[in-house]
Amino acid sequence: MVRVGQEKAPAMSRLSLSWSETETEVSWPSLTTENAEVKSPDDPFYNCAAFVADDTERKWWPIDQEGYYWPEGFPRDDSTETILKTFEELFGFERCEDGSFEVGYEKVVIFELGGAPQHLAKQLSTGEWISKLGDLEDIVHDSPNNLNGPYYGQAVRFLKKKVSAQ
Amino acid sequence: MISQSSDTTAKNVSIFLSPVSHGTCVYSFGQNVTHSAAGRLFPKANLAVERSVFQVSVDIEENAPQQSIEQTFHRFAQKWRDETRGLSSPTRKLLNLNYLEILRLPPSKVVPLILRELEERPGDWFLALKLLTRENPVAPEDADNFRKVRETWLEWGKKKLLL
Repeated sequence: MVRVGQEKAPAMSRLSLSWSETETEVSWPSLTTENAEVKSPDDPFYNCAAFVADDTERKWWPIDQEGYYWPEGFPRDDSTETILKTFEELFGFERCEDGSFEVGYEKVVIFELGGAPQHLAKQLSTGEWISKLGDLEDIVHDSPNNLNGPYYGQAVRFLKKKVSAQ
Repeated sequence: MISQSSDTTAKNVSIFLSPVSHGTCVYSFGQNVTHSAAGRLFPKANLAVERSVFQVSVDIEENAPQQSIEQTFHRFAQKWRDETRGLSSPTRKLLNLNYLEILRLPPSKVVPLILRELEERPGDWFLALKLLTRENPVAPEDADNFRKVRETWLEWGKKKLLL
């Protein structure tokens, strides 16, 4: 309750996505305008895994479903391990402990819920992270933890790759 | 491994989904239409709930008025969009209860509605179309391209005068 003479703490603003505010709040309770920014319009034709692989023309996921691409030679078993192995072997990533910023490295995070992969995001050269949220927008956010919650679970697996100096 | 009960003459169809060894799941709809998806299809935490949801026998009311079917479809489609648009995992999108409710509607009435929805709002409707129509017009070389799969189904719908 706010008493006379007592200032009310400013409410954190919910990030404005092409989705209901309620769904956004329930799905990503930590996501606000303080820690994230929308970077693109919504687009149902690519997803987070494709975005991390720099492909905005297809949807990537290791699943045997029409409409989804996964590189040949890797199982379509909807597992985090397959995503890790594919990014290691195909793109030269290596596993690492966390998403802390390391100069000269690009990092990728995989979110899990109940042991199953739910989402991927990648780190920018600024140390911020960029995510394609399902069929919604791309957002830049401060930390993988901004997306932790009941929707994507937790940011638990990390990969890194040395990037060549510009 | 798989539970299936089907009596199409009585218009009763059961949809069962059972996890089997090696984490493979099998959908079953009607008589012989199956779709296999290797891998863990849903988070372990939700397994018990999801399984209980699937093991429900349902009646397909072929004679229900089209208006009622349309309202039912749009209600579930809207709820499905609301609940899954932000999801990245296709597994969770396709196992959403609202999506499964749509599979219970009469194929002859719901397929044109799904095609119209797919045309207006691109979404993961391909599994539903495949199960409900028992057809698959998508060429294997196009199967992993969302845009091409969508275009193929829309063309199929036009050829069949469903769209």
